[in-house]
Amino acid sequence: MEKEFLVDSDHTAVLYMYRDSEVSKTFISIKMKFRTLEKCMTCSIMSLPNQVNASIMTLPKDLLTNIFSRVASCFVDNLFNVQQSCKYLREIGNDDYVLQHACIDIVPYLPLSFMERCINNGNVEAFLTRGFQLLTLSSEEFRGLEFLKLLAQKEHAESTYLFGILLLYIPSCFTLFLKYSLIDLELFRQDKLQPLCACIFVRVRVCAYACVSKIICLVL
Amino acid sequence: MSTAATADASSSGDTTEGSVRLLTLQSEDGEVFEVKETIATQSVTIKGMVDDDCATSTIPVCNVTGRTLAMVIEWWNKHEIGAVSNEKELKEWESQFDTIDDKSDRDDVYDLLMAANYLNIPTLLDCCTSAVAEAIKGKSTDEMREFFDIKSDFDEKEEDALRKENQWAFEN
Repeated sequence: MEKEFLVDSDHTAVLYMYRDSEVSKTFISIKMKFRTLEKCMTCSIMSLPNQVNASIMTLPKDLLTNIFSRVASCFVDNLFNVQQSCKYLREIGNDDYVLQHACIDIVPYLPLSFMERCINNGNVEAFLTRGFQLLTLSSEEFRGLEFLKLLAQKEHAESTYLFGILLLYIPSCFTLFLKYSLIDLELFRQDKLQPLCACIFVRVRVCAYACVSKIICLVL
Repeated sequence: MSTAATADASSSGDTTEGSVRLLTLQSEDGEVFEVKETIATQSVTIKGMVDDDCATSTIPVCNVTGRTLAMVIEWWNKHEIGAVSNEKELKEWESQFDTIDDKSDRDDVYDLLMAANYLNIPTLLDCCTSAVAEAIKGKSTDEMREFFDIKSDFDEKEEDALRKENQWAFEN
């Protein structure tokens, strides 16, 4: 069996396998990045279907990951049910991409270990939850804000908005506010964000200038 | 749409009808389909081949059967720009893929998923993926095993431990 690689316009490589080597001659393989070669080989070979006994178990891993992330985005109990059905599916359900999209905001109590895993995978809801938890503890406000800031850096509009509001109105955030508003104004300037964030940007900037001028006045 | 494989199928290749170029696709089991280039390029894979001038002779779609390829082409035809003017009508037509309660429907969706993945057709992939995801939702583990024909390879201890570990998600 002949193997050949072809890179399409998106630079995603497609592996063609031909039983008939005559046919393959017309597809002279082109520019192939060696770095991705190995990865492409495994994923494409996996996707060669077993037409006789198609079942959910024969689907390639990337498809199952995609399906599971949709399942998990409804709520994790669905994901757990499917994970409990066999070892292979359990492994796929533990994939980073799936956990990143998991919806976790329905249960009041979330095991710490699961929460950590979601945070490590960049799950937005987990970030927000942890951020809020920390914000309610007066000694951890700073870390809570850090979580919101991280989300803001990921262009998560609601968090950016919230981050701005908190900086502006919480007295204990005042010093942080000074620090952030002078250094991290870029956060509020993202094009993709909602107009609300743009408002925050303007307000933060105005306040920052006001504070700076006040300080200068005091010093003088 | 579909013509049986003929002896000269491999040489037919690049035919032109008016200004629309026709591509020849050959399925794994040898069925040959002639498809307008404008339609077939909904597949990112085929588009790449056309852009690189690799699509001048028969394109073998190796791991897709003729039956599945026919469904894929039907999908392309429906999703060609201007083919179905009414968005609602299109959604209605797409909804036939949404329920996979029958065994035969399920097999079709798996085949389509494979084909969509191989040919890289985002719209079809999206539709089939969400169909399977919807089927998974709301089923218990045992229902899932029966529905998807999954054989458990956990021993009793492992399964109990896993259920215990995940218990929190079911207490709301």
